[in-house]
Amino acid sequence: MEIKPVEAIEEAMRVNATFPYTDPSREWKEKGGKVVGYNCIFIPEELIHAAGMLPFRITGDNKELGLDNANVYLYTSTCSYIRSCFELALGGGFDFLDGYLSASACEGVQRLGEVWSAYLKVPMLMTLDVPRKINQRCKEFYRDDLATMKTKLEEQYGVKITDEKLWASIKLYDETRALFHELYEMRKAENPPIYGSEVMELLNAAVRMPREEYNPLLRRAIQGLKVSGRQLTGKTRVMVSSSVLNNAEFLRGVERLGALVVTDDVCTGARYFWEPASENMADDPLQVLANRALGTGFPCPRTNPPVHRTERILKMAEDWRVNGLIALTMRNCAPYVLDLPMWKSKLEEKGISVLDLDIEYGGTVTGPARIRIEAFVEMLSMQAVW
Amino acid sequence: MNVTQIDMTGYDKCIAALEKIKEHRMSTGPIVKGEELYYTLLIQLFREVRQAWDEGKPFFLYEMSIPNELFVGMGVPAMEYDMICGSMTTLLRAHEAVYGAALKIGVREEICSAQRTPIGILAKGWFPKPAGIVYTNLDQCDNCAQSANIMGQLYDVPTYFLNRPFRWWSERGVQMMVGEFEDAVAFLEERTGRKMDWNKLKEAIEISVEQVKIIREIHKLLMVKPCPVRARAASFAHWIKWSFAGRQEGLDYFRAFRDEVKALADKGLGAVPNERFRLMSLFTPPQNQMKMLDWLEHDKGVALVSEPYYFRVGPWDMDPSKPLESLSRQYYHESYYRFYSQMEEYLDMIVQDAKESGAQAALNWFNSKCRMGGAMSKIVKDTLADKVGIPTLTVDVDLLDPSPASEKRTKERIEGFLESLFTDNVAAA
Ligand code: SF4
Ligand code: SF4
Repeated sequence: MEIKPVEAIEEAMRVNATFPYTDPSREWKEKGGKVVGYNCIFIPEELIHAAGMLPFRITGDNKELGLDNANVYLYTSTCSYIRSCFELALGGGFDFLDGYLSASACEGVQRLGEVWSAYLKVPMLMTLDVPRKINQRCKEFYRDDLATMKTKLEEQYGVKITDEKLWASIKLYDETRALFHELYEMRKAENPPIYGSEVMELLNAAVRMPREEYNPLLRRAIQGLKVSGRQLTGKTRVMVSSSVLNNAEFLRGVERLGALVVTDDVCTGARYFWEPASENMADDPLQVLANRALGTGFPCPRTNPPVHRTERILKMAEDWRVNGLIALTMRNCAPYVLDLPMWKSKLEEKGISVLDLDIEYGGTVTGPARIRIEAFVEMLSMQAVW
Repeated sequence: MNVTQIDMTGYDKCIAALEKIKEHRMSTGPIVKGEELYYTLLIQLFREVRQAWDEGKPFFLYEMSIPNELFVGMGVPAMEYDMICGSMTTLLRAHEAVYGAALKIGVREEICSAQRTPIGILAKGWFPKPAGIVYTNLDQCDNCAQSANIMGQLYDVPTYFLNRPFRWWSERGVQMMVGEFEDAVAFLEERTGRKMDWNKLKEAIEISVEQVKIIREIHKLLMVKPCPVRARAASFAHWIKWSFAGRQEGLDYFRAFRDEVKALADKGLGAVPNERFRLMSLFTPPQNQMKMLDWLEHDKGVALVSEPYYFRVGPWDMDPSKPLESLSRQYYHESYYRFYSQMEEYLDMIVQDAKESGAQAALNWFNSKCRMGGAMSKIVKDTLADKVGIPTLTVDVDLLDPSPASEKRTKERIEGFLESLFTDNVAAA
């Protein structure tokens, strides 16, 4: 059966094709707007948005880059995601940014911010102190650091971030989260209407264009899928897990081998939108943002205790009825490497196989990776038959 | 992933091996009091935990930078796990077995050996089962922040994670850490069925204050010409500092150590027979290749006159009447914490130390699996060149695992560096 293209998904792909200085960001700047970069989901986009600026997620490219320049500054022990970001930055790819917000999220994110501010011209405004523990004390501490970040933004750009503006931004970003949940629900179907690679394109575009334009685009994508009559088939259903993944091409490669990628545990995927702010209501908008970021909905591998994350992965695998999980372990991503053993065997005990695959950021389904994924998909499809 | 059987054979072999080493050192050469005490205390700690295990009493494992004073206050034995497991692996020459066991559960080679080693040791079941594991993030080390999760799961024991803020010098950071310490005390109380003895904790802090004062003295003595401190001493002192903080034995060790180097300094004698180079040492030399430090001293005439990571403690003293607040604030004043926090802080510290010590060059012992250090190696070199005018040699080593870096290659690189320094000096003269 022919799989018809969906216009809004194609539009997202066009935006991504112009990364890093995407067309919508260019237009935004041409109208006099400011763009502030960040590279970790622990920095709430709402804060930048409420300051009247465009939050832009700094990532590497959609392909594996040569990292010779970045290696000089960050050494090869830094993960390839961080080095890819810096490689692009060294080549002037992010010169269009008016500011950069960093976080003490992991060693890589923190050091990138510091090295960036020492050697490049984009002004680094501050490193947000992100606790690694989920408890009330840490949420309050995090909230206070967000208040400091808010003041920095106000001082640097001469703007006022009022509570009203923050509430409005929270509402807007929650709308995106609700839409993504709707989209992911559709992927539970026996024959989902959308490929995992297309979802990744939509996710990438979300953080590279103004949200006011993006939400209607995502809504149109969902609507388009509903009326498209698309019914995808595959040999087996898989979930993809990783620290960070922007490369839609990788998922396309997996899908070409016959698997349906139906959900994920990725920081640029489900973890990005999972927990709505509305589930973390408080009187103070900054506290709402802090509660959301350190919530138990779908925590990042770096967060303690690991139990909430393990439970979410197990539940998600069950709810989306996956036969197997592909764990993409990026070399030198310590948070992920040390988290994987916490849940891998638990998933296997439930009869869900795990393929533990070494990959570099931007890597594609070629060579040994292709052989292993192909064998995994075949193995799963046999199980599905049994 | 649970370990079902504890095997104490290796643990006991370590005690026996340490006793032999101490005996050997004392019989063959002029062992100094500080060094003798180091071995005595290391053996003592192994025995304390062994005894608790035999008697069915609680003891704890904890990570570097969890203050030992807490356990002293609770009256329970405790062992700092990354350094102790590193020693065990070296004493047993069990690197392959230990790292193989870690790899089997998914902890790959790219993970820093300081954290892979305890995971491997526990995966083998070579350590007695503690009542709990207390760990922390050292600001920003991902490995430290998570390794104990796996260890807890392996041994099926509860863990307590203490969240350290990134900008810890802020009052807000101190306030948060006080809360984290309160919860740590509650965890220890719950796991032992005992109450914290606050008077004992205060006494422990009083002792630590004295220890820190002596460490400051040693820091100054290091810079004397010729340098009276042996290069190995820094690692020993670091271990004692963490394992015997708040204990009289630790204070006795530091006194003996200080008295010895002071006596040398007073006589105008150096610890290095023929001091030719006065270098700065950054981060920590490979703990499995300590003989390299002897080679540096004896064969190359290198004195390590600046070791900010180990000895540059801030000027502030803890207040025993506010124990938990003091332990939180102390964190800021400990020299080596700066390595894990804001890069700027660390760079400022090493620039100061390089200037004060008059070091001719720096050796950056770069643990090649460490992302905190890796991302800093260029900027460290650039900063020391720009602000102090000294060159830096970055040596790729591994803290505990001898396999990635060959000693021969490391020595060749250091030799080349020293030769160029010598040539530069001659040219300058
Ligand atoms: S991939 Fe891992 S190491 Fe790299 S930035 Fe993300 S969490 Fe940090
Ligand atoms: S050497 Fe680096 S990676 Fe290893 S424990 Fe220390 S900070 Fe962490």
